[in-house]
Amino acid sequence: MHGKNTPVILVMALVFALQATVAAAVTETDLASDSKIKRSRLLATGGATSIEGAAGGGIVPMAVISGYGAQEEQSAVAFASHVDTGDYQLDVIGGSWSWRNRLELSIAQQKLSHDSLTAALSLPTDSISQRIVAAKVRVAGDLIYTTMPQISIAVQHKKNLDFLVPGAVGAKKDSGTDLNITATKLILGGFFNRNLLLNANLRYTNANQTGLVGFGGDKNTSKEWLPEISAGVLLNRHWLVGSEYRQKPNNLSFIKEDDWHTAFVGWFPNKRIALVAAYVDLGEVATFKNQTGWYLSLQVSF
Amino acid sequence: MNHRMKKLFGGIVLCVFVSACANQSRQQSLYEALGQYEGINNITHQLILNIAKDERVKHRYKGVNMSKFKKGMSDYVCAVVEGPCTYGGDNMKLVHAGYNYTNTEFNAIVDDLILAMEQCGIPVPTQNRLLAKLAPTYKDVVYH
Repeated sequence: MHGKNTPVILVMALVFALQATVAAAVTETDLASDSKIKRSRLLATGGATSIEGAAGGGIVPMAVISGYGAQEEQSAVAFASHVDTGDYQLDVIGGSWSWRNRLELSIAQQKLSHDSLTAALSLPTDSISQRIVAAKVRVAGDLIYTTMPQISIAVQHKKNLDFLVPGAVGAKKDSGTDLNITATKLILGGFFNRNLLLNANLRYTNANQTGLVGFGGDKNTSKEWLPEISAGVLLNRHWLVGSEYRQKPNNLSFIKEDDWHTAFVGWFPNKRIALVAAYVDLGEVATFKNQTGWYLSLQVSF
Repeated sequence: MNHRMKKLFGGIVLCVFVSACANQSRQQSLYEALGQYEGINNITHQLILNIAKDERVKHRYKGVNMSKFKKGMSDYVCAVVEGPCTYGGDNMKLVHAGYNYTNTEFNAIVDDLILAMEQCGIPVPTQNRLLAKLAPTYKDVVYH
């Protein structure tokens, strides 16, 4: 058990190290320097990075384009995330590049460690990896400045790199492509004069546990539209608290798949760093019930 | 949802509505919250200082009569927040027409305004109320 906490400690150490190098009052410092500010969107409007590499919360993507580039700028982000539910651990690293607040290209590498499952079923492997390459386009609206929400369309192509176990439990394919249609709105002063963030995503998918357990199954092979929602309140410019819900498919008769919930706190000290901590409830995951635990994600923007 | 949960949920919803209404009636006018005309004028003053240091937008103000801009801006904000002022200038669309101001420049000004409000000690709820009043001008300002 001791070794499992190492990534969390590493991330925390990295955060404190980074914070020491970046002044908190970034805007005043930026204005005082001679160089032109190159990323102009407002603090927190690029969101964090979700586990599939898209700008969003933790488990639900948002319509926002990653980073802080406005419509004449570009931006990039790198991220690392860790989830621990006791019987499972998920580690994700990746990054994205965004162009003119219009296009977001992202890549994420996921590694699910399943020691408990390996022990219970005497499996020959103890982890499953997956690579996700995705593109998101903002098609209409602006998060803040238009009455209409910001609307984006995204495709996420997922390739399961360890299909042995997913194939054995009945998954049909080792790769799949999700389609996302997302709407996000920040209502200024919308909740007791605090800024209110509302987000809804429709996902067209047949991915089992985001694709870590393959795509399609004996119960259902075809894709279906599933809703995902999230909402949050910005206590001030730096702190976002909220919650997410993600409906999941249930394609395999051997292993039940539950919907996911999170409650999160996001910290945006400046336009360089975002840190998200969350309590996650993933329900039953591949025969292990009540998978609840912690999520930690660090994002660095350039 | 069992009966007890329903009661609890109902109670929470009722609480939220009652406190929202109480909050509404007690709420100070935005003009008062900003510190009346003097408070607004202080924010405008600080905004101009920030703009003057902001490489993204400062070239846009070359040749602009800043004391005239300051009075125009303060009067405009005062009128927008329903203070006892008359804004005598042209509407936002006309003021910005022909300059092709960009989304980046609009964000820069909002950035500078938020910083000015922070520097003037304006509380977050008041900041948000003012931003909510000004954000809809976006469509009249950019890309014309």
